[in-house]
Amino acid sequence: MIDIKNLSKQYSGVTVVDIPELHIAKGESFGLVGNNGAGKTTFFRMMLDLIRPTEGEVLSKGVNVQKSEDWKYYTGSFLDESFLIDYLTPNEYFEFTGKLHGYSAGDLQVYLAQFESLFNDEILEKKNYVRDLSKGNQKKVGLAAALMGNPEVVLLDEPFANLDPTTQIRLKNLLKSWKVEHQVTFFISSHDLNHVTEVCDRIVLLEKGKVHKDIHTEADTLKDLEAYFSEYS
Amino acid sequence: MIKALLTHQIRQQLRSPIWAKNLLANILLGFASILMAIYALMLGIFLPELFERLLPDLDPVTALNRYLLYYFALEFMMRFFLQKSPVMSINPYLHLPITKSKLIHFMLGKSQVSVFNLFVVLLFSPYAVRIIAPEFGNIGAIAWLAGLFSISMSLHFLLLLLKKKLTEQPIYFWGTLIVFTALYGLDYFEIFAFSTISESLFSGLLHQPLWSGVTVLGWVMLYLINFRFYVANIYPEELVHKQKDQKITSSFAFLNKFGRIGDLIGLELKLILRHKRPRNALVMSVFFLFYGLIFYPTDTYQEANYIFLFIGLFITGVFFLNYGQFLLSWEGSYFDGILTRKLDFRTYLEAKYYLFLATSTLAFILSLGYGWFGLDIVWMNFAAFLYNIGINIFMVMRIAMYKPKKIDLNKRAIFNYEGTGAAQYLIIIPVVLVPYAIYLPFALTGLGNYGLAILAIVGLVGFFMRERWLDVLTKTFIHNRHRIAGGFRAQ
Repeated sequence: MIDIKNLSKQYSGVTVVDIPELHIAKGESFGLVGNNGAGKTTFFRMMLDLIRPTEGEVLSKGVNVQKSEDWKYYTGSFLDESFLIDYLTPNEYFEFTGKLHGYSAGDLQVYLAQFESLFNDEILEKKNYVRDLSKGNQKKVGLAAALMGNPEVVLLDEPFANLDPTTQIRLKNLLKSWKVEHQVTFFISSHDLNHVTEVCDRIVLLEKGKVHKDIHTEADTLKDLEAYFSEYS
Repeated sequence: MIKALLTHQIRQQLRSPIWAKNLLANILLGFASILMAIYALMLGIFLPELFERLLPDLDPVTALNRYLLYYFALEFMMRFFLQKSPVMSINPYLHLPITKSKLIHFMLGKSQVSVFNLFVVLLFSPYAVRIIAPEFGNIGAIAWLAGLFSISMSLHFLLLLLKKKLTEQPIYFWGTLIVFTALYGLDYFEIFAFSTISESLFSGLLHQPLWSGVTVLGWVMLYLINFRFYVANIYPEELVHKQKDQKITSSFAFLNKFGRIGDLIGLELKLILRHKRPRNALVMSVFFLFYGLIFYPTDTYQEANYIFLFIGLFITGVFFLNYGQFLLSWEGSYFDGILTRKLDFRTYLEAKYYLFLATSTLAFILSLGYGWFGLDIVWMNFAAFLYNIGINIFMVMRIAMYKPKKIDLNKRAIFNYEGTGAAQYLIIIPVVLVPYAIYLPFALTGLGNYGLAILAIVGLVGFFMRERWLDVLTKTFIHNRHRIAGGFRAQ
């Protein structure tokens, strides 16, 4: 599904991402962990053609994301609040993104209904603009918009951060069921080792921009990762 | 799609948190731009008469055509400063299934709807109707005007390109200014006839209307070049922060001698020097030092010299007026941090007072040069200076604590009215009218010097009472701090 070839990004001589080769198969859920500054977000931004790589390329279905925009039509993403249009109400934002995916008003209603428990009555039909929502609620809006239009690939940066524990658990279940029902290739970066090992079948650990570990999630993966992070120097 | 983007743009304007709160400023701004348009139109209507007056031996068509290239040079410089780059907040759309080219076409197309682009039409269409059409026919007039308009639009896109590609290097501004002043000079002394080039270019347009096609072509070409540039470079980080290596301003080590207050002043100076808008306030203050040059040399003003007090107040006080009126607003985005800082509020305010005192004193010392126009000016500035440091600084600081509004430091400097509220409009009353109320009765009865002496004494007394004033300000600050912080947070 996604192929990384010789991808690197440097800022004034300092390498922040350097991934010679990486292949992610369709339907695989890919977890990205690493400390601050490991290059997780930069990597995701390059996958979405938001940052120009210094070298190398990201191939989505065999096509360089810089060269063609086809990937946009099957890729959903939410990295941070800058992805939202903050002067719209959540409803208006969903209507707009829904329209881009060809949803009718009825489609949209059906689609949003599945997020009812996640939204917890705090998002829809409110007279607040996106910018007035709390960080957690903004995240919910972004997540719901990212999953719109049956995407084949979904990128989420820190989806669990800023959410309350209940929502974290609900989101985790939601992601797991989407993975099974829609065959989505998930890319999830997270600092929450617990959640990420539970949702993803493959974990890649970045350290200073390089792939430090690339493991298939097993029973003791969580323990391994915890050991790595507590000994990190 | 375009409709959706357009509604977003309108909503963004209407729903901007600043918009509603700055309604007054917006109305004034709207009014000002309507006024500007009317002026342009009026100027356009009377342009033929103007040329007749200034260049009576030339026929009006030749006269205008001669100076059109200069006009476009002027327009280029005006655009350089005032034209905004059209990058709408494109971030939220990039990851959505909309093609880049659609977004950029929208962005560039929208950028064309601007007052600047109307200017040339307002200015020259009366000319086209009154002078050109009778002589060259309707087609000639239309082609001529279309040519001018396309040149203006080409300038529009040329500037977009320059501004993005070369990050607002002022060299283009100064370069154009120097080149065209030089050309004008050569023209004036009849060494090189630049105006003849201008004339032959634009009269060519009149005699062969098809030439206007070339200017339209220029417009389209520049549009396409912009389009290609943006398509290749529409990466948020590259478009937004194009500053290559930021200069880190020095740490003002000499301020260390003044203890905590020195540290705070150093911090404030960093705030000023590292952000466009406060830096602009500082530059304006230096600029206003020369304000006196407009008035002092003129006899009419010398006779009515009571107006010089205003100039004195302004010259020695412009920085704290300009910057101090937004006293707390500058730090509005981290005001909670200030309230929880390990620092008593009195020191916080004291540092600001001493910064204003220092700038006023510096301005006064520099204004001593005006003694060349008469010692009475120095004396007047001295009285104004004392009144400023004893009364006005405190007045401005107090008024600025009334419902301050947050300022986003990272926004542009020109035409930015963020943070302006009722207090900023009213500030002029106590600052200028009160000293005049004291001074004017004396001045009109020929006892101006006594009036100045009283002002100076009032100022001096105020200055010696500064500890007391600072206590009062601190009390007000403490009393209002929750409301102020709440206001900042809500915006």
